[in-house]
Amino acid sequence: MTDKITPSLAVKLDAVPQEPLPVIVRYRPGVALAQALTAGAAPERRLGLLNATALRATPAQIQALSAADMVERIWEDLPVRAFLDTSVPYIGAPFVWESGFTGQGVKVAILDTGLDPTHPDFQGRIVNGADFSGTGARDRNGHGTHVAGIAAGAGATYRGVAPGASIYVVKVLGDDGGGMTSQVIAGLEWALEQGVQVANLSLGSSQASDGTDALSAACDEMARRGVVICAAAGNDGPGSRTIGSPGAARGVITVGASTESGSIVSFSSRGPTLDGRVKPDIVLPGDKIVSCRAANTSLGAPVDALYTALSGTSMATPHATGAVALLLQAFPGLTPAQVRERFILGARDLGLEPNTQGAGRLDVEAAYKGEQAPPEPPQPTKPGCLPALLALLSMRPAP
Amino acid sequence: MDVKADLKRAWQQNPAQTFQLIVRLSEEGSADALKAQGCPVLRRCKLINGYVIQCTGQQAAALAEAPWVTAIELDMPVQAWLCPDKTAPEP
Repeated sequence: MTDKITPSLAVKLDAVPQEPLPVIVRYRPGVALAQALTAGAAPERRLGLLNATALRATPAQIQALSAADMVERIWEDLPVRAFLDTSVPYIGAPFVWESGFTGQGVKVAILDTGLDPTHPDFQGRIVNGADFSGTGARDRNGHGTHVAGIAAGAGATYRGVAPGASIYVVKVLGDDGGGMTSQVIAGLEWALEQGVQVANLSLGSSQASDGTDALSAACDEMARRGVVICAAAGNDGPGSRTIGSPGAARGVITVGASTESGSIVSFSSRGPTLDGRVKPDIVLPGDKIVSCRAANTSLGAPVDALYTALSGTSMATPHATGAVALLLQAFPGLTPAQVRERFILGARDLGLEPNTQGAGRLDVEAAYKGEQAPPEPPQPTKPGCLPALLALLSMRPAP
Repeated sequence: MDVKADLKRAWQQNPAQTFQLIVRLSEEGSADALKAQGCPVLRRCKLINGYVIQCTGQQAAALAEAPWVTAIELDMPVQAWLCPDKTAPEP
């Protein structure tokens, strides 16, 4: 079996040896679709934007196609999922899912405004929770539920980066979205006692830091004890030296906010830290991200009763947290430093200054493979092109 | 001893004002030592060998001289990093 066939498709080929399967066959550049090899399978739709053909082929036909030099890649033609939150496929998470990893069994702590336990996208995966805000663990603000959805939501329509992860809810921010440093430290200690493997901190202080403050020190100690900490860079950009705590901590993965056109959102805090270190470490999408909406909240721009759109480095950070969960399921022995190294190696250079982009925009597939990501290709300037491309990848032929 | 200059100035200028502080200690320090200085302990911070206390500016200045105190800072507010944005995404 060649590596042109995606891992999840390869599993199905073994399971159903005779049954035709819907696939998308991508051909190398320069191959004309009208003359492209189909190994006897009837083409159902030509996808010019990808130089690909959708067809139903038997496993034998798929194997013959994979052996052909003109074929570049073969995917399963999956049922349509309208990812209005296009950020998750954009960063390459589905490749890791197809490889068999969804974050299952990995303990993820969300230190935030709580979580709505009735939201269907978390059912069966909220393991434990604690309140350090004094307002009860339920999310009456909406921020925490949205963040958790990006990291680990399992919706059919909107799916987070690690839809199989186990969730620990740590309410350290009140219903107004604010809290105290000491509450966050207490939340970190509780998370450590619970044995969490990765913690998300989409919060911080506006005061620029040199990484020696108490919260940064607490995060560094968590990392020293084996917990990966993903911390937001902050929303005090675009000026330099606007990284506060805990984004300035040495041992955390500091995440800035990018757009899906390969630029940095203006509000994303920039480095260096007060002591001159480059931050953020990476950037991820943080502009108008659609994710879970807590019941009886109206934060952001609601899409419907269950989902809403929010912007901020708060939204960028849980993309990283979910990616950590995927990596830790795939490679359980990774230390926080090794995770951070993989992220930096797997980041796509956006061609911007390091204190603006860090190593670049994380490519989860590259981080999973342990490879250096190629530079970000030029993005189409016309709004909506990228979502259309992603929709094409998922679209079934018309009946 | 790590204390920011503006914090020192604040408690020197306001000796009677109450401050909520995070105090980090060396191995010789303890909650009892803090209480002996008249500073009630609100919470322990095990990760950083520290405590959250409330005390006056005068008490904080005295605490800063203790050899078993390694750092003092304000218990700062934190916030969710959310940008107010009422614009719905493009379909």
